[in-house]
Amino acid sequence: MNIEFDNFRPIYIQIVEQLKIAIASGKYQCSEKLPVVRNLANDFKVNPNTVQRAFMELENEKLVYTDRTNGRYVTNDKKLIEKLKLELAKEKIDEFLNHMHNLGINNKEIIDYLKTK
Amino acid sequence: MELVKCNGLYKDYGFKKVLKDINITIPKGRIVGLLGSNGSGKTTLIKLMNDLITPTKGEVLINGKKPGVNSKKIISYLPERTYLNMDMKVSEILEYFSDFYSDFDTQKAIKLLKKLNISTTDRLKTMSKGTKEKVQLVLVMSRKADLYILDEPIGGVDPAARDYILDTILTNFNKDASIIISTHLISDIERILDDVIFISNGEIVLYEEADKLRKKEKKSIDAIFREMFKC
Amino acid sequence: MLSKLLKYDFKSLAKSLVPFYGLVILLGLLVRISGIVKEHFPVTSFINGMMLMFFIMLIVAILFYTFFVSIRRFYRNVLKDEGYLTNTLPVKRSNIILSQTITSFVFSVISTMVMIVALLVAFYTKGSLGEIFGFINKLFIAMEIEPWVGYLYTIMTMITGYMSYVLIFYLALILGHQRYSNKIVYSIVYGLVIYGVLQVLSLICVGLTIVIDPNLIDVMSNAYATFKDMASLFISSGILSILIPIGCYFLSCKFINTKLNLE
Repeated sequence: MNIEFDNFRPIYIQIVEQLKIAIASGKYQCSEKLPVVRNLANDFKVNPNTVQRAFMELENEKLVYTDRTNGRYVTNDKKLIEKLKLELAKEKIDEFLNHMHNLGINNKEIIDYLKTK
Repeated sequence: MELVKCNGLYKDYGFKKVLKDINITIPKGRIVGLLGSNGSGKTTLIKLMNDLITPTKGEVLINGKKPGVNSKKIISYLPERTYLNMDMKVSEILEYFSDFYSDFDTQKAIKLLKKLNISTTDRLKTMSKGTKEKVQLVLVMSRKADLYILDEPIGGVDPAARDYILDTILTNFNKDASIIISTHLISDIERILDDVIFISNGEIVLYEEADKLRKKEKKSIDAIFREMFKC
Repeated sequence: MLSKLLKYDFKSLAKSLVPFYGLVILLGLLVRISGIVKEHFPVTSFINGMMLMFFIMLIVAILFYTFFVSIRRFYRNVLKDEGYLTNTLPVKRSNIILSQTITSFVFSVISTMVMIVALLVAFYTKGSLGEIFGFINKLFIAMEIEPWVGYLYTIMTMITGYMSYVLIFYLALILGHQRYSNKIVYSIVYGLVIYGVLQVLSLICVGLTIVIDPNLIDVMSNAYATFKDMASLFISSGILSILIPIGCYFLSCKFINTKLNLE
């Protein structure tokens, strides 16, 4: 995974975003065991403490839970994951719409274009 | 017990006050960036931690004690310069480290050197500057120390080597040890730092968690630093 | 850890000196061989002359070279870039200096032995050793000194003399190195200062000896005085010659802890 992180936003937040995308897209399935901090830190080329912080954040949002002896797992709450997926999608769409409106393209034009896809 | 503690630390060289009233505590398990421009006092602070110079006033404590034989056992130091005996072969330098440092992992060092296409029969004399620096880094990171102090580890090195160095630092990180990286090339390493210390004109200007700082200022550490120390 | 320091100091000096030793002994061999050849072929006597000349040059140089190599190793290993490694080793700084001192001493002895061996290789003939020792013994007896005392005192002063120079150089280099510029110049200055101080100490020593043994004044102005009369002076200067290197050693240890200033 060669992710380019921005240096001007907290790194742990960017990792949280990457992991959320991975969970929402099904890369990490429901109830699947997540990679350990060390390996993830290696892959992302970041500080393990930062990955740890990101995991804690995800735990706070109940997307991930720690089974003390066995490690970290994605939640088995399918509804939550769906909600996450929707949230992420809405974010991206709102972002996209913003860009389009900046270019002076209105929603109707967007819908027409989407219809052709 | 904090790993490193500076209490009212001052260092003068003659009439020049190089470090003024340094009071910092560095705990275990952190990667700390000691950031400042050349002449800000970074290297002096590092030399004080390594018992290479003595304080003018105040003290620096490593695991609660003044620097000495015991602190040197647990500190793995990479200075800015080439400090190896050029007449030695790689195998001899490995034996040297293993003789003096009980925490030196020879097999690990050989493995890391092999990845760099360096064999144990190579002579240090025949290596390029970049290769020598990599060898020194491998030696330092092959010790299982409590404190790693790296003085400008990526200065004057090509980008591929830089990645290698950062990789090596990360893969060797263990939460019972800390790593202090002193550099003026901030943007290249800031993503691996837990905490940053800004030092300027011998004084600590800032000591903060990297991500906290980014959240607060909405800028990269590099940008924050440049703004703070605009001439 | 001292033994480990000794191991590496020893190895390092050996690398520089062993080839030189080989050369000296080889030349000794060549002197002998060319000497034999010269007997049968007088026309080759110039080769023997040349070999002899080089050989004498090397013999004279051997102790100077040994000294030079010892000082150079100390300077490079402790005060220059390598110092970053040496001074951060988990060893007492005093052991670093002690190890260098011991190694310098050991190699001065080895060099002397190599010199003797080379001379024997080049010039030994049956009974020549007996002649030499016989002559020296007669000399000592003529000076009213027991031969064993004479040998012992001579060897002792040679050792302490050499080690004094070594340790004075160490101390001067350490002191000079704390400066930011012109380190070598300051080292030389400190060296001269130390030498001056030692001269003063020697005078004080003589003075003290005279106080203890007032006869000395008469003895020293008497051209026919024997060594026995001056025994007190020899003893006191002998003691001083032992104290000087020891003093320089302790000062070096002290200053290397407080005044180290690697660039």
